[in-house]
Formats: sequence, structure tokens, C-alpha cells
Amino acid sequence: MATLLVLTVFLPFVGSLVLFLQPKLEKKTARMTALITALVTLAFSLILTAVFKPDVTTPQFAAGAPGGPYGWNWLSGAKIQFALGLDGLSVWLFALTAVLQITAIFASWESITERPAHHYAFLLALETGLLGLFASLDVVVFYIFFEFTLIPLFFLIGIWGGPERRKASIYFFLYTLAGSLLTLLGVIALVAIHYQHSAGHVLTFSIPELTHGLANLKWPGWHSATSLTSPQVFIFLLLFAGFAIKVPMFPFHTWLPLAHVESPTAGSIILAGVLLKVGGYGLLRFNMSMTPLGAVYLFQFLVTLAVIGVIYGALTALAQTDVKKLVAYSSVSHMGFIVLGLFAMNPTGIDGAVIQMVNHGLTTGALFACVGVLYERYHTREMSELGGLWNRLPLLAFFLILSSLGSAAVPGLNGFVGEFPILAGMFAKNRTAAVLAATGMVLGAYYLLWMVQRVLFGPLREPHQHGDHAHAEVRPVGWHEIAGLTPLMVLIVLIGVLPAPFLARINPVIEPIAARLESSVPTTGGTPAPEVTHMNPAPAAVVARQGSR
Amino acid sequence: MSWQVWLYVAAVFIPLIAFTIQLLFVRLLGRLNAYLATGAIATAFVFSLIGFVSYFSQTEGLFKGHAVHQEGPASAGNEHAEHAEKPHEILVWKGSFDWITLGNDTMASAEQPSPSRLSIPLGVHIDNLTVIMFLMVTFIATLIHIYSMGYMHDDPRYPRFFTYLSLFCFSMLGLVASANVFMVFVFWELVGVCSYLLIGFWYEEKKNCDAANKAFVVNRVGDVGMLIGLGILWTTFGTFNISDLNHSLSDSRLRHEKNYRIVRDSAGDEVPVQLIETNAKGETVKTTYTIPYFMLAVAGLGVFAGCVGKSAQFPLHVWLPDAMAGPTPVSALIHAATMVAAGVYLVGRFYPLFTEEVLLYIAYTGGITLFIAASIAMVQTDYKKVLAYSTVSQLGFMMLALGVGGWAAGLFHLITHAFFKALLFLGAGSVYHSVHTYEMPVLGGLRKKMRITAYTMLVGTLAISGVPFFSGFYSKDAILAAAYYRVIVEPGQLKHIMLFILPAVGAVMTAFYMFRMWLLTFAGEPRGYPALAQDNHGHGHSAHGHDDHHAGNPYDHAHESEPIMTVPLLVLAFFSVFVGWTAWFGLPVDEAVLEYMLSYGAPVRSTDAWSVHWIAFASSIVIATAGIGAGLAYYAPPWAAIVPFWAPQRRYNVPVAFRRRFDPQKAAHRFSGLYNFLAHKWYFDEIYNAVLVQPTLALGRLCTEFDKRVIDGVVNGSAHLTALLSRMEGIFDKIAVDGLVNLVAKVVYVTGDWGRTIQTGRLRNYLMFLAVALVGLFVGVFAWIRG
Repeated sequence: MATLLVLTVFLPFVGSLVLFLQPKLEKKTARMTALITALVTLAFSLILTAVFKPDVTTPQFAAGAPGGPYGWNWLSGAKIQFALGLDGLSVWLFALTAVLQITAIFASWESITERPAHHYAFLLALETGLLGLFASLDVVVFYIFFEFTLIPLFFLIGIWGGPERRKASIYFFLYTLAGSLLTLLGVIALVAIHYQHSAGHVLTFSIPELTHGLANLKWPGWHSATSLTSPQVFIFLLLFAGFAIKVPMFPFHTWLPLAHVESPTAGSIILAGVLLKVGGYGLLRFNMSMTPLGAVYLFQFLVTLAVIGVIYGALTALAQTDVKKLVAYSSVSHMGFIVLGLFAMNPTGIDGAVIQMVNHGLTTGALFACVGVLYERYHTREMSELGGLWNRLPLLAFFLILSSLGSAAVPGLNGFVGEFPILAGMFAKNRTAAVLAATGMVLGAYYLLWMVQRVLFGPLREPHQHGDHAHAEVRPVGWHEIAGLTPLMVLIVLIGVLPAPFLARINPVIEPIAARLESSVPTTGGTPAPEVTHMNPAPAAVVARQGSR
Repeated sequence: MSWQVWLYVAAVFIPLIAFTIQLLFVRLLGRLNAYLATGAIATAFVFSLIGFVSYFSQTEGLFKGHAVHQEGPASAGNEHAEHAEKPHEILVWKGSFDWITLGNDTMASAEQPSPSRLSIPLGVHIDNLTVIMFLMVTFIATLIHIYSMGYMHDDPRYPRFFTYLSLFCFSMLGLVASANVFMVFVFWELVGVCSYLLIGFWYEEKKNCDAANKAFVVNRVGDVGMLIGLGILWTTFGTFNISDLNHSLSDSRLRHEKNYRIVRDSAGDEVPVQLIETNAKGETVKTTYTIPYFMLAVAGLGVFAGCVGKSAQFPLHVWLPDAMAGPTPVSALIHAATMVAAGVYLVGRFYPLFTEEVLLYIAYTGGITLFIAASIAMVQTDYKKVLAYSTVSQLGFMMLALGVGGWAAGLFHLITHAFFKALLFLGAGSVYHSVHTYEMPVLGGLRKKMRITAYTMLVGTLAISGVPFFSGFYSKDAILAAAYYRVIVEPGQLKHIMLFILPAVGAVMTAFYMFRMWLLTFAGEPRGYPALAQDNHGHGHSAHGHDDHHAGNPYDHAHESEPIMTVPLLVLAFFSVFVGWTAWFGLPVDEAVLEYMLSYGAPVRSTDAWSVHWIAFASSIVIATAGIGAGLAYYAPPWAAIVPFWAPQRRYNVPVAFRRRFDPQKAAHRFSGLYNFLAHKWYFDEIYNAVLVQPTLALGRLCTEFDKRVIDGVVNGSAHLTALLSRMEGIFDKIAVDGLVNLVAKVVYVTGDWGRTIQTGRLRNYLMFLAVALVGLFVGVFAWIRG
């Protein structure tokens, strides 16, 4: 299985190389090559998901015995292993990447006519970067994939983007690069600290070993967080810089709307669907797992940022007239929710956040694909120029309404399965934050339904640039668009109705992380409830009181 | 699990299966969708009828339940009385399975049950209230499905309409059967979605879409309150199960010994709640949790906030009148009979949660709502709007009843109201189907052409006005009795006298506006459009946009609707009379049969309002007479003389009191300030728009500007700074950085062949500066780690 995982990760890269080496390929051949590569990758990743054992907390499909060391010697001098594996945190994001890749390819099916081979080559390279990133078990491998994802996306936006693509791609590149360099610094500091303070000076770059080792470090200074320069807090902030920009958290979000608006549809789908999740994933994998005290120490600050992000993103989305910008700002709001769930620091909130990352990938991916369908036909995304399209494009209406409702967290669809535990978890931790974030749900319903209304409902309104003859000839939603969107719709409903199998794979790995975070909470002795008739006191009430303090 | 559980589960899921089939095969099925949907809900109706019969044949002592009312209060403070507070254990069918489990049992060990563990079971809970609600919902829904086949016959989106209806039926039945408040919330939102889709069914008109959005968003506001309530309950008790919580909270030790409410004096500042649950092994576990009295009240208010949204209570009532933009069968089913009553249902279902203050708040909310809505209904010229405000007002009655302690009275009114309001809306739909206008000033005299519609609607009008022997009389009577008891019989409660006055005045207004509506539509002679020019009642007319029908008299092409529409009207009229009857052939000497059936399962011991029944009965008669009299005095066509049918040639003059009529226009003119205030619906929409909507949008624009100017400004500023600094690159170029820079730059250049369009030169500078900064930071961090 370890071989299959490696194969899955690098298969898109092989496809990418083939396309790079054949730059003169026609559109049809290029897209078919890309599609087949992506489909095989998807099939492989589905096999991996299917055989993934739900109750195992150690990484699966990794070369080497469980418990490590994993992988193959790569730079043996530096003890850097080439180690790939999946656990409950990464398995769904891994699968999500493979699914959204199909949507992205189908979204580019007709729209990319200029240098198609290179376009698909970059898309496939991006896929390898993301798959590798989620599967990495070694910080160096992780970081390489992490940085590698920047390059294809930079060119996707820069070459196939809109009129302001230069500004957008540079913004994107610099913002994320600046952050990720700080993250690198944090990672190196972690390795160095582990080397210096672990028993027997173990030099390791392995993520599981570092997580475990750092938690049991024999250095008292490591296990206290009293000021900003306490080691865990400081390193938390270094790591946070890169991931917060990726998420993106307020106020580091301004690259996102620009990048989305200028990016081609496929880029937007991958960017919003998967790349933003890298931020959340990194926060959980590094910040929350390796420097839990930092999270506890900075709790107020982080939650404040997340709540601001939820409300600010929603308000800004409300003011947009461009559909794509609206969806982009909605991402800021929804990613704020995810961060909020992470910082609830209990299994409920974190489980919700992890499943919400997948959910957000599906709904936002679908929304961007829908916007792409619109843009291809009308060459505008201004809502004032559109209206009443339900009658013109009924299938698009179905897709857009379903993904909007999913995004607005309507029960029975996937968004609710994520947002409800997030709010519940946060509510147990800090009531004020949960209540404030809940207003984001009202605004979320407002801007999404308003968007749906302006685009689909009302009297038919289409831009005039099509010429007078073209109105009757608006191309109906094509088979490739249906093929790209249908899997997402199925998953949106499936996760909404039957979330248990998805959560069952996430939950076991969250437990230890949450346990570490909860044990890091400075415990003030809560008084047990009076009149206890059973051995269970009222822990909930105690925690709730602490939270509201 | 007993077979009845499966019966009800099947009844919930049949509409869902029908919905799925309709959704997937809409092209194939086409108009057959209607039969599928109707068949599904009719099957559900048959199932719930079986369930109903089965339930009430198994409940012994149902009709002995009344004896409880004569009993003295149970001796409170009995230490051994554990949960003997309810009159008797009621029959419940239930079953459940876990849907989501977050966190696991290893963390929730015996010593430390973790609050961060979230386990959500899906379950059904069938008691007498569920059984009755189920029967009502499926029965009315079946009739409305049949009616819709006629009403929507010519609509191009006929199949889609029935698809939505099936989804709605599933959600509504699920809501009724839910065993825990989480599921209630889920179905709560789902019925909201159906409502959204159906209000905006004719989405070509902007007005309809605005109404749909308004409904959804206003409901979401209430739902946030509900989420807060759920959050408090979950973090405190670790469960969402309604019957477990109800059971614990109806503990008499928490409650006042006389009035059975949770009062701070008897419950204390920290309320100890003993929760009895059955764990996975089937053992009964008793755990005592404490919750601050204040938090319990907040939880109750939160849950109630959701009900305020769904049941269109003040201050969230604004969405319901607009929701009438949907097709009329939808208004009848969703926005009158079932969905909007869900808020009342939840208050009833979760009744023990509410502390005394919350109950008072509920009562006042109901009182204010019923008064505001009734006052607005008196001046509407659109008969569907009259019915809409009437619905809001009647929901206010129900809330008030629950708030003053009339648990059975409020839910009784919910059921009777469902029948007569569905009847009235369907009748209104039948009128619109025939004359294509909602404006009463241009109608009149329709009784001659639409006999069945006119007289079935008269039955509905009499029922809602509270005329004896019509169902509304009995339920309104019970409400008034409960209110009277709460404020007058209970000592020291006279300060809440408004809780009796508001429903009494509201009931007079109800009788008035309903007769006004009926008389304007069906009585007298047809008026037609030309009259409009002189008629001050035409005020709101242009706003309603039925301009295409302005020519001629709508009466001319009026006709009675097809049997597929009138038969449901007749059936509903039958039930609007009899559903509230007592066992004594409708004579008000005992509680109504339905009220018995409901009060059998009352979750909390309640005070006995039966003793004041005769006072309420008397005031009901006065109220109905006053209201109907006023309606007739203003709007009935004057009687010149009585012509006996056995001798048509003879005429008897009537007393002057019957000949004289007041002029509504003069009254409107004299009190024009008040009239305008009411006609503008108390300016709620305008106020909300100015205070909430516009500021939110403005804030959104402000945030956008902030994004552009401040955040991007900072970013651009630092970029300029970087550029400035990197002009000094000559100095750094020569130093050790060079290699690192070239490495990064090479990546850019190698691929730069394709990227030439975006190669700016400045990028290279940025990168270089970043690299330099990085090296500096590296040095810093390593120095810090060493130290």
C-alpha cells in the first residue's frame, strides 16, 4: 500500500511532465491526457480511502513499521526521510484534492484554448504538490511540497488569469511566500529544540516523532507559557504566520479575493477548495499538535481574529456585486469558522473543523465551478447584468442552489455537519465567541440567498455583448460541466445525510490532540455540583462557567 | 421498538421517497408527480390514522384524566415522591439510533464525562401530542394536495410544485416526530427551505423573491437564538433529548407548590436538575446537574426565539404577511396550518423548560402579536393579507395561552385553527382562481356565483370569530379561561391584567375583520373596477400590481371552482365545525374531546382553569356579538325589509338598528392618522429597513472600503518599502546572499519563458529582500534557541 500511495502522489506529476514535454499538443489531446491521469489518481486515492482503517491513529500506508521511523532514507546524513502516509486528519483532504481535480479539469474543458498543454500540466503539478503535502510525514518533505504548490498556481493565475492577473499573482506569491518562510523558521526551530532537549539528542524531521517527542520533552521551559517569548508561544507565532495567510485569516486575507477574481476557474476551484485547507491543516498538524501551549496562551487573540474574520468576511461578501468576489469573501468567512472550530480545543470543535474543511472544499469548489459556467456564457460576473437565469440554465440553477444551501449550512447538507459541531464546541469553550460567530450564519444565509436571487430569479436579464442573435443560443450546461459538478453534489448530500463514516475516520486522531490541548488548560478547581446522586459531577457546568468567566 | 414506531417512521419517510423519485425523474413523470406526491401523503395519512386509533385505544383512563382537575394540589415537599408530579405516566412510543458521535467514550469515562463529547441520536418520540399533530398535518396536507391539482392545473411548473410539497411534508412530519431538540432544529431549517422555495415559486417577480429571502433570513435570526439555547442545554446537560429534559425539569421540587411554575423562590439561584437517562447498557443513570437559574431562563428564551421566528411572533412577525406571495395552497398548508404552528408546537413540546419569567415573556409576546396583527388586519384591502395577519394574530393567541399556563388550550387552538384557517385560505384561493384579484373593494356579491366557496368560508369565518358550536369557539374559550385564571384567580397577579384584556379585545377585532372580509367579498352587489376610483379603500391597490385585470368587472367571469377544489373545502368546513366539539353534542358543559386528548399528555401539572370556564364562556359570547355586530354594522348590505320565503310577496320592515349602516370610509377619514398607521402595518418594515438592513449593508460597504484602503494600503506600503530597500541591492548582491537569491531567481527564470508576461523585475527585488530578511531571522532564532 505504501507504494500505491507514492504512486498516487506522483502520478499527476508524471502526467504533468508528459504535457510539459509536448507543449504543442492540441486542446483535445491535452485535456484527455489530463483527465485520464486525474481519473486514475482519483481511483487510486479512492482505493486508499476504502482500505483506510478507521480506528488506527498512527499513519497508514507508510513505509516502515507503525510507530516509525517511516519512509525511505533520503538525505541520510541529515536524517531526512522521504516518508508519506495518511491518517485521519489528512485522508479526506487527500481524497478531496483528487475529486476537485476532476472538477477543475472539466471546468477548463472548453474555456482554456490558449496553451492548453501547459495549463493542464500546471494543474497536474499542483495536484501532486497538494497530495504530497497532505501525505507528508516529514517536515522537510512537507515544506517542499508546501512551497512547490505556489509555483504552478502562480503561473496558472499569471498566464490564464484576468486583466489584473499580474498584480494578483505577485500578491499571491509574495504574501504566501513571506508567510511560509516564517513557518519554515518555526519548523526548523522545532527540530532544533527537539534535538537539543530530547533524551539522547535525537535529530528527527519526522512529523509523528516530533509531535510525540515534543510533548514529552524533558525541558521545563518548554512546558510553560507565560509570555510572548516563551518557546511554545514564539514558535506558535512563527508557524502561524504562514498558515494564517494560507487560511486566510483576517487581516491577511486581501490576496484572496484578488487571486480568485483574476484566476481561471480551475485555479479558483483548487485554490479555494484545497489550497486554503493547507492553512487549516497546518494549524492543526503543527501549531495545535506541536505547540499546544501557544494555542492556549494566545486563545483570546486567535479567537478574536477568527470571529472578526467570520463577520467581516460575511459583511464584505454582502457588499459585493461580482459573484466571484462574493464567493471569495464567503471563503474568508467560512474559513474563519474553521479556525474557530480548531481553537475550540475540544474534540467536538476540531472534528467539526476538519470535516468542515472538506465541506467547504466541496461547496466552494462547486460555487466557483458554477460561476465559471456563468462566465463562459456571458463573460461577466456582475450580478447587476444577470438575472432570471433559472429558466435559461435550469441545471445550473439546481447546482447553484444546492451548493449555496450547502454552504449556508442547511441541515441535511454537508455545511451543517461541520458548522454545528464547530459552534457547539466553541460554545462549550467560550460562549461569547460562539454567539458572535452564529451571527455569521445569518449573514451567510443572507448573502448567499441574495446572490442566488440576483442571478437566478426575477425577470430574465442577460448582458448585451452577446449580440441580438446570441440570446437564444446560450449553450445549455454541457456534459463536461455536469460531470464535473455531479460528484460534488452527491458528496454534499451524502456528507449531510450520513456524516458518521466520515467523522469516524477523523475522530480517533483528534482525540489525543484535543486531550493534550485540554490538559494544557490551566485547571482551576471547579466546585462539583451539590446534591450529587451519582459519581458523575457536573463537569459541563463547570467548564461552561470557566468558559464564560 | 413497537410496530407503531415503524409505522410513524414510514409515514415520515414515504414523502421523502416520493420527493426523491420526483426530483430524479421529473422529466419522465411530468404531471404524474402530482399523483405520486398526493399518494405519498395520503398513505402517510392512513398510517397516522392507524396510529391514532391504536394510541387512543391503548390509553386507559384518558377520559378519567379530567378528574385530575378536581384533585387538590399534591402535597409538595414529599421527599420520597420522585417524579410523581405528572398526573400519570403517559403512553409513549420511541426509538432511536446514533447519527453522529464526536469524541468517544474513552474520554467520557465514568469520572469525567466530557462536555466536549457530542453524540447526536436520531429518534422518534410518539406521544398523544405527536399523534394528534401527525393526524392533523397529514389530513390537511392530503386535502391541500388534492386541491392543488386543481388550483395549479395550468401552471407550467406544476410538477415542480408537487416536488417541493413532498419535501415539505417530509420535513414537517419529521419535525413533529422528533425526539430531540437537535432534530427539531434540523427539520426546522428544512421546512424553512421549503418555505423559501415555495414563497419564491413564481420567481420571475422580484417581490416574490424578496419575500422568500425575507422569510429565510428573519427565521435565521430566530434560529441563532435557538442555537444559543441549544448550546446552553447541551453544555449543561449533555443531551438534546426533549423527553429526558422535560422529565427532569417537571420535577416538583423545582416548582412552586401552587402554580407549578419554575420560580426563583422555590428553585433557588442554582437549579439542581436530576437527569434520568438510559445508557448504552440499558441501565438507568441518574445525574444531578446544576444550572444557574438565570442560564435556565436564557436557554428558555433562546429556544423561544426560534419559535418567535417560525411562528411569526412580534418582533419577527414581518415575514409572514409577505410570504403570501407564494401560491395560495402553500399559504394554506405552510403559512397557516402547519409550519408556522411549529413554533407553538415546540413551545408546547418543550414546555417544562420555561421558567416563570420566560412564560410571562411568552404570554406578552403572544398578547402583543395578536393585538398588532389584528389591528392591521382590520384595514387591509387584500383578502389574502387579511388572512395572513389573522394567522399571525391567531398564533399570538396560542402563544399567549401557553404563556399563561393553558398548555392544552394553546395546542387545542393550534389544531382547530389549522382546520378553519386552511379552509379560509383555500376558499380565498378558490376566489382568486375565479376572479384573479385579491382586492376586496372591486369584489362583492360573489356568493351568487360561488355558493360552495362562499358558504364554506362563512363556516370558517364563524369558527374563527368564536361562535358557539363552531370549533374556534371552544378553543378560544379555553384560552380566555386560562388567561382569566392566570391574572384574576391567582392571587397577586392582577398587574398582568393585559394578558386577559389583549386576547379579549383581539377576539373582538378578529370577529370584526373576518366579517368585514366575508361581507366585502361575498355579500352585497358586485362593485367592479370603476367603483375603485371613488373608493378610498383602493389605497394599497397599485402596490399589489394586478393591473392587467383592471378592465371590466371581475364578477363577470367569476365562476365556482371545479369539484377537485370545492370538495376539500366542504371536508374542511365539516371539520371546522366538529373538531372542537364536546362529547355533549357540542354543548359547552365539559371540556372538548380533543382538549381531553391533549391534556392527557400535559408535561407539567397545570392549574385548573375549568373553574372559571363559565366566565370565559360568557365573555366569549359578548366578544363574538360585539365583533360580529360591528362587522355587520359597517359592512353588511343594509336590510330594507325581511321577505319571508314562504310568502315572498310580503315584506316586513326591520327595526332601524338593522337598516342603519356606518360608513367605514368616514371612520377611516376621521381617524386618518390611526388608519394610515395601521395601513402601513405599524411601519415595521420601514423601521427594520432603516435600523437593521441599511446599516448592515452600509457596514458591508465600509468593510470593503477598509479592505481596499487600509489593509491593502498597508500591504502596498510595505511593498514600496521593500522596493525602496532593495534599491540598495548592489550592496547585498556582492555579499553571501547572492547564491540564495540566484537560486530563487533561477526558478523564476527557468519557468519565466512562459511567464514573461508577468515578469516585472520588481518581483525579483521582493524576493531578494525576503531572502535577506530570512537569513537575518535565521540568525536571530538560532541565537535565541541557544540562549
